[in-house]
Amino acid sequence: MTLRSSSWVDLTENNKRRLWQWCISLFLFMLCNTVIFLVLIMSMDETRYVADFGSRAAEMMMRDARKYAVAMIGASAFRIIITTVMAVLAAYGGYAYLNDRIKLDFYESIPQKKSNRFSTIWVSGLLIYSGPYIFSTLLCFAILNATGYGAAYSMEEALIAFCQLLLYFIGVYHLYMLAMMLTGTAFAGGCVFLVLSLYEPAVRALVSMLKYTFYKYSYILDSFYIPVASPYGLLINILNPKPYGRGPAVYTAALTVFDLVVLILAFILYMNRKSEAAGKTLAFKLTAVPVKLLISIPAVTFTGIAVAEVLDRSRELTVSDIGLIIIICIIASIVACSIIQAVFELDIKAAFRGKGQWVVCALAGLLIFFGFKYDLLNIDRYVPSANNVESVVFIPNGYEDIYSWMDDEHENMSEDEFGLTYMFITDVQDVCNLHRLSVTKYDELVKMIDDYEYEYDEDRRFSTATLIYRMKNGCLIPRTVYVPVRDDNARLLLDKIMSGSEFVKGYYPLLSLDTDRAIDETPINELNASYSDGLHTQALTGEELKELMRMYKKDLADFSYSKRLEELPLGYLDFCLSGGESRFARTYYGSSCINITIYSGMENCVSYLHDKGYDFSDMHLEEEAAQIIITNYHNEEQDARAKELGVPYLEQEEAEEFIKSVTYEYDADSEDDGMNDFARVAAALHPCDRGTYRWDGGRSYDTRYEALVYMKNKKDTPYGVSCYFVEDEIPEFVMEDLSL
Amino acid sequence: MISVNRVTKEFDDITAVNNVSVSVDEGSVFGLLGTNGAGKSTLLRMIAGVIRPDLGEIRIDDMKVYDNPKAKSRIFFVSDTPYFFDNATPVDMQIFLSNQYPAFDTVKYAGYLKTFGLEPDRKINTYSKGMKRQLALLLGICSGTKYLLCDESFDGLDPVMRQGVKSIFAKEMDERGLTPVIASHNLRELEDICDHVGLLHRGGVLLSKDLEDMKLNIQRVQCVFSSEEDEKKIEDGLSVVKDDKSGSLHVYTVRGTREETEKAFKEVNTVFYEVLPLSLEEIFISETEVAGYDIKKLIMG
Repeated sequence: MTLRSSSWVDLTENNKRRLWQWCISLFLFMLCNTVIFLVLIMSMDETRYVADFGSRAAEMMMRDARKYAVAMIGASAFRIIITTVMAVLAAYGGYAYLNDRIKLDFYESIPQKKSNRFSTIWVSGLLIYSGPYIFSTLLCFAILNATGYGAAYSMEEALIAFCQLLLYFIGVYHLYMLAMMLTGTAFAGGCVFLVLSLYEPAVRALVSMLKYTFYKYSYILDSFYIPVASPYGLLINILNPKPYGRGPAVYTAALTVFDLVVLILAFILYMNRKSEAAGKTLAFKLTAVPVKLLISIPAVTFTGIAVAEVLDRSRELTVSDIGLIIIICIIASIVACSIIQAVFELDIKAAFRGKGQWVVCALAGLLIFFGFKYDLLNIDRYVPSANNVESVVFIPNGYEDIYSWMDDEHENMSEDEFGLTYMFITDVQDVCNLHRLSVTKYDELVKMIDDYEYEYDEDRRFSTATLIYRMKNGCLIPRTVYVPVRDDNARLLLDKIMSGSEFVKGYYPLLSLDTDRAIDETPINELNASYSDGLHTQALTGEELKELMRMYKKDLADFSYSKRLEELPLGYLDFCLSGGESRFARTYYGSSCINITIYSGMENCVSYLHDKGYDFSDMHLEEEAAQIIITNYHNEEQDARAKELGVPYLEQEEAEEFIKSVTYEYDADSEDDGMNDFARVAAALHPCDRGTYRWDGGRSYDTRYEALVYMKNKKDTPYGVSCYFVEDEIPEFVMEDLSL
Repeated sequence: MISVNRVTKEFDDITAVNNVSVSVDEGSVFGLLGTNGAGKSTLLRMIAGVIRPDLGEIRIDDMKVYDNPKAKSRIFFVSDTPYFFDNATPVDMQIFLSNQYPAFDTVKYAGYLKTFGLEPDRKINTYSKGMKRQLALLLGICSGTKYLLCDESFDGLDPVMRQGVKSIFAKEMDERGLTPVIASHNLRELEDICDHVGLLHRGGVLLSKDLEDMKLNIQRVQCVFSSEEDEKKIEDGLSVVKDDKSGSLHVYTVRGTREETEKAFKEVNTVFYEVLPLSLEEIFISETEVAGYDIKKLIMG
């Protein structure tokens, strides 16, 4: 008598039991994936492409066919969703019998080794996913070839995508299996899977909340939120490689190791799982206390943050506040532990068991809370030693009105990504010194405010900057610093840092971009480029833009920080580039818009604009304007009140009570005002709004006075244009006209 | 032989089976008797290798059973709630089980299905509870295993079907030495089918005996003694389990064969004595009362 049936027979039998999973997999891959792909390909209308792109129509059609192929055959968001669904279904469908005593009696009594049953189910799950995946992919290729787009996507790319998604599938599959091995009911299994999947992001979110609430200098990198111990996080890192990251190969290896480790864990638990665990919340008693504590402690810490937020004492907690927080956290600990215990035992009466854990949970939660609140580990004020830093990213937030970032494929990036990709300041000593100085000065300011000794002083101005240290040990240390931009020592350091070629090269997105290529790749009808001084706007052709960019790059190299401090913006350049393939989301269209400020000291740019007749600096506002309406918001009363309160500025609601604005009109045709006053006002006004805020604290406008200029030529400029006076250059009669 | 040696199994704080030792000889029908919660199902599930004992050892033909396909291939476990695949027919179950049990007799199976009026292509989920139990028993019988573990499998079967299954058991025992182990909480279910009975109570074994031996070794005697001296002689000379006295009439329950008992009574002067047969129920009552239990409350239903 044969002792056991062959593996093939076992596999066949197992798959017979899982027909519904095959059906769902086939539905998702065949109907959703392949049919949508067919519809997309068939929807490409050659006539429309010829109309839009002329001779480039065939090229554009191939480009779009590739985009569709990438979205439907590649490792796209669409396929990631399908993969996740199938991984959960395959794991649940395969091992759900462990939660059912009747099925267990049947399966466990038949002559089959547990390890064989485990592997049979495991292989079946893999087949249920990969069979329809491969079939669907082959059909998509058949569609591509049949429609003449065979060259749009290669088999090699599809194979790589399959391997990446298979690794991800296995990761999620194993994670769900592990959740099922740890629990005895489908509901508990689902919950534990969610906990395993979301615990790390949740803890990261809690840490970031603690930092945002209690740290002055914290900065959370975008990448901080991507979980490390998660198939999803690792897949993102594989598909979206970052120059500063560890590279797809490392993440692929990490995901493989993750898959293996979770599989081994799941297998060990499977082999040691008692049949009587079916129907219980937790299959292993040993896991109960750690699970309870791991969930309850963050809950207690979170409660502490919530109470602190409600008390609005994020800066200074009184003794009674601390007492209240402790009491509420203890209650939170009892509630969290009791709920979890009741769920574990599926019995409300069991809620109050394990009272010792209440104490542990409350103590640990409070320790974390107060650890962050009082920065017990001195993390917040830590300034790295220059000897340990390899290079640093220094991003003065909003300097030069740069708020959007793009890579050399002219795709949008986050500030972090851009900085970490392009900025490598190796002379870190100056940055560390600036960081230290900034922390000292800002702490002084905070102390003054806390002691109600603050007095408003324009020279005590701070601008924020993001610092990301790349440490020699491979760690990234991100910080937000408040730079005293008008402090003499800070200015010296800033001049050294921001006039340096490494900063200039790293900070300006355009310097890392092959602008000629980017402009060429943007369809003519999508390239909207213009130069404006805020009042006049001139559209630029692609060639003009290319030339202006060349001039701008030349000027930037020779335009120091200190030189810029004394200059006012002359105008600004706006243009958008059509986006390439988004590496992760695979969006169909995307665009990246750029605006850059031109200063009068940028000789090459100004000369080029002048030669082309686009330099508006010689335009005379007094000749073009019909009416100027100036409003003085009289902020001095707000400032006085703020000074009285010892705060830098009033909250908006309170500030509104002190607004006593005065408005005055100057008309070009009015005899009462006289042409002299009108002309003097017009001559003193600047239309380019780039000077309203200056990160560097340099020459800027006085925003207390806002002028709305109405032009004689209503056709081109039907609405009023905001213009400003330069600080300390407001005509005296204007101040008199607008006094209270 | 199935050998259960000092086996203990606990579920959380409850001891379901406590230090149980039982052996099931080949070719006999072993009845496992006990109240609900006595540990019958737990013991059967341990014998079937579904759950692992905390202490002790279970061996099937001298092989450990837990996670041992070789040992398990000699056992078929018919659970108290038999499991069938969703939307499966008797034929589907046969295909699956014949892959797991190579000795599965498909011809016999088809024959039995016909005999019991079970349609082979009808979905099992449309069967009644009793039909499902029949089908589970037939699958177990036809699997060709040496041991058939039946957990409350006769509950819900009508008398005709019970008789039919009993006949099949007898035939299979005769043809290939099938050894059924039948757990039930009802003594009357086992009385006419078992050769050997193990009585479980609160996780422990109260007794495990051969039914014939039990019947042969316990007697009931009604008698009236001539003198107190004779009465004392009998009580000293025989193993008296129980003595119900009504006036001068004694009703003894004594251990020993009929011959031994009659011989003892012949040697004393009695006004009258008569050796009477005991039903299985009465035997159990006597045996368990000795152990301090009221069997009527326990298992007579």
